[in-house]
Amino acid sequence: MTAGSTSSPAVVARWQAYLPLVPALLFLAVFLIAPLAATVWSSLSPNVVIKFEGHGFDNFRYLFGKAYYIETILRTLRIALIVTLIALAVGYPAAYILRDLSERIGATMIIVLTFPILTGPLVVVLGWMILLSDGGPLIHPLTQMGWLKPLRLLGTETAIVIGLVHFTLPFVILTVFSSLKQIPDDLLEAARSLGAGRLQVLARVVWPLSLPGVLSATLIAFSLAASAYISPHYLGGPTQLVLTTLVGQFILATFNSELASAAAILLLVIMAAIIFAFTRFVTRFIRG
Amino acid sequence: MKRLAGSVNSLFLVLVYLFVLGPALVIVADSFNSATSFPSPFESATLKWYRQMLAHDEFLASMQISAIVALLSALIATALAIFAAYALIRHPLRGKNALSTFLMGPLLVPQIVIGLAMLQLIGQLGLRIGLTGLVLVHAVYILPFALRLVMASLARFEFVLEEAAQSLGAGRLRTLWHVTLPMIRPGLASGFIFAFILSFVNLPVSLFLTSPQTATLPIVMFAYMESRIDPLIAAVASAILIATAVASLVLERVFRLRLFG
Amino acid sequence: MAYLELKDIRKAFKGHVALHSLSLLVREGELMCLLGPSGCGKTTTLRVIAGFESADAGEVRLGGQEISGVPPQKRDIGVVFQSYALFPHLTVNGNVGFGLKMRGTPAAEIEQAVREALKVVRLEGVGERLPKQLSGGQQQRVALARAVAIRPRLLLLDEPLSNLDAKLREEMREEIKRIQREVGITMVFVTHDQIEALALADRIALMEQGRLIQIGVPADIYERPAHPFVASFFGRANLMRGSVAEVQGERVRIETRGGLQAIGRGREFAVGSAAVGVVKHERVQLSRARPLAAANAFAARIVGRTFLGATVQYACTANAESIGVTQPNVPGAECFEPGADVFVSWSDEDCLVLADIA
Repeated sequence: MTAGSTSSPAVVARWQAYLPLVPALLFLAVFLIAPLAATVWSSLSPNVVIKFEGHGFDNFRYLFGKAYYIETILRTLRIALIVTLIALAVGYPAAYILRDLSERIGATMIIVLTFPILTGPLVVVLGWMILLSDGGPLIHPLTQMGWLKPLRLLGTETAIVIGLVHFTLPFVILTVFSSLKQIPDDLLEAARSLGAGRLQVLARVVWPLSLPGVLSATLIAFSLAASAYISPHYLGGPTQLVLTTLVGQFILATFNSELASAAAILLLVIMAAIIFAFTRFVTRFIRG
Repeated sequence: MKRLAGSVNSLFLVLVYLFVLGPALVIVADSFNSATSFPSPFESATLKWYRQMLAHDEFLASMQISAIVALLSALIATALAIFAAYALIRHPLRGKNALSTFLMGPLLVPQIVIGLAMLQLIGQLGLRIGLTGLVLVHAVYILPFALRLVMASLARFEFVLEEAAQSLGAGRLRTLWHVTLPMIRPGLASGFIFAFILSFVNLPVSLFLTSPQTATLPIVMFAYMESRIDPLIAAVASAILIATAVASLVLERVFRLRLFG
Repeated sequence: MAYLELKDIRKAFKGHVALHSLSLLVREGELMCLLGPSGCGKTTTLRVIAGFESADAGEVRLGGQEISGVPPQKRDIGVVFQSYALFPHLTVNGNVGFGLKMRGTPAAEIEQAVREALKVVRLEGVGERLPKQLSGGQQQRVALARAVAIRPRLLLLDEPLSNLDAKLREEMREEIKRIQREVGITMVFVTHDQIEALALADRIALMEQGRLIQIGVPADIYERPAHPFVASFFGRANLMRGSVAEVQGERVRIETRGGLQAIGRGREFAVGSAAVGVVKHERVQLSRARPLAAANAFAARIVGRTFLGATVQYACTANAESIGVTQPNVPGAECFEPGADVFVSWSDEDCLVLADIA
């Protein structure tokens, strides 16, 4: 009966303890798992474009058969990868610098970062549409002054990358920041007292200890970038489709829900495969 | 040398924050722009777009719907989260990690796929798209966030207080009501508010499930933005920006909400 | 008559047996202490009584009724936790009245009962404060008042004094005893502190590794330990291991491993069986000359001397046996230096011979 969180050290096998979990589990089973199953079923079903007997993988064969769709898949992965790398390259140093700031300033800076997350990508993308348009307050003055050749950013992959980097950056900074915060200052001071310079401390103490945070951040950034809809839709448009906007197009434009399901399942499988492979690779790398 | 590094660091941070806040500042600035074509240089400051927004029936109606959907889905998600979090934290359970990963599942599925999946189920069961479906799919999406926040709150709770309540005659439910919940109230409130906001501003989850009667604000904005971008939509976006800015300040200061770590 | 009865209680946690067939009787109105080193199972026993743990086997009976399957909220047993477990979001009044509120007592009655309970623990005037505004001693009084307010059939206290500093501990010890007498409530409290147990308890139950080793009034347990563990737990005792050499009625002579022929009192010993001669440090006499009338007198050398304020502790070696002696620090007491040749002696009544159970 000392202050603590559990009443017995043994694992409670009593079924009663699982009871409170049932509502949430049931809820997800009915409103997430069943719908996903329905999606799988739909992805295997014949539709207006591709007729076949019974159920099969023809929809997927169709998607893999057309260069257009292959390009979409590759674009999705390419963008996700680039966004992840840039977000990490910018986010890690930013988190590192934030870590050293005083408590109060650091806390305020963190709140400022969470604010774009809460506000939602729709609002933010509108801002990018303004900033990246030719007549907008950013490009227009720069082209007028001759610093920039007139260029079209909206409707390009670059615009999508910029938008997604913007979207994922706060998540990356926050994740890396919280993992950096867990490194006690004494460790850094100990390293300094043993003669390590700032860069060495960073390379030999901070970086290795922050790796779990970096890994989380990588996975988060990649998942967010691959599953984003709003940025690719507005900043890339119908000429620069990724898998999410492809799903959107299948439903809203071509009204082909079976192909939409196939594209969705494809996205899920690809993401799962990459995340799984990456996690496996990394844990093996850490162990070795 | 240290000072140079310090100023380089500061410059870098300033640039990063400019990047992060840039779009938001631009939108707010342009919402006060009296120029009608968009985008165009700043003419003069005006509130006319905000006035127009407040007179715009479609936007107002959709704000109401968004609020209702957000309220209901946040309630559902938070209620489910309280029970699930309690089970996960109170006793060491066999398979706790697997269960908790499963409950965080919606985070791993792209929002648009969550919406699509619900659409498929509704279609295959021959049901109709409506407010219920919308609320439910929102609840699925926000459940992991609510769960994480409630779990963080419960983790700080001293369960010996529950034993004390029991020794004084309170059964399981009464203990929850009189002792546990009051103590985690701040965490619960912040979890609820956070879930509410996430639902309110969300677009992809709702995309395939709206009908004219159940158009949320983001959906209406989406349709609007398909055809044009003008200061009016910038005003709507700014309104959302300011509201969520205030909310995140409240969450941080009053509830000491820490989203990460 | 037995008020609380534990019968063959067995409790195991993932491979480790915490309680082995524990049986215990507590009389009505008694202050019983469960004493023992950490890990002995005393807290587990308390939790089984309270209902926070259910025993794997055995019965718990309170006032004749079996309560083994009854959930804690229905057992009518008050608990004072080691950390006090006061509800931080309720005032002192709210805390103390909580149990009565759960019973649906009308508000006016609750107010009266709370006032009375706070009066009993001598903590008046703090009703509207929050727990965090109180000192440790005050918090404990509130915890006591809260448990007492529901007028439970039994009151359990888990290491109630361990979070207090030494002075406060003594004060609260007296308070708990007074409250117990005043309210007339049956109390079982758990502690690892033998002084606390000796000072507070009507009876002490000494536990070790999930078993009840000995139960009795403090004087009995102290003077007549039934087991070497009990002897070494209280105060300081010399344990001289050896085998029985001669038996004459209740007089037993053992040959210790250290080469002494010690004479003491013991029952039912067979010659040659393993035995331990137990002599408390304060019952050993030190002298320069061989005492004439002592049953046990051995030549020894002082090996160490420690000044402990009220007493002086000596370490000696007699033959190959280590003997510890405690002498009161009084004027006129002789002071022995390390290296001095002395005689250690004790009467046969002061030497208890016990069977050597490891």
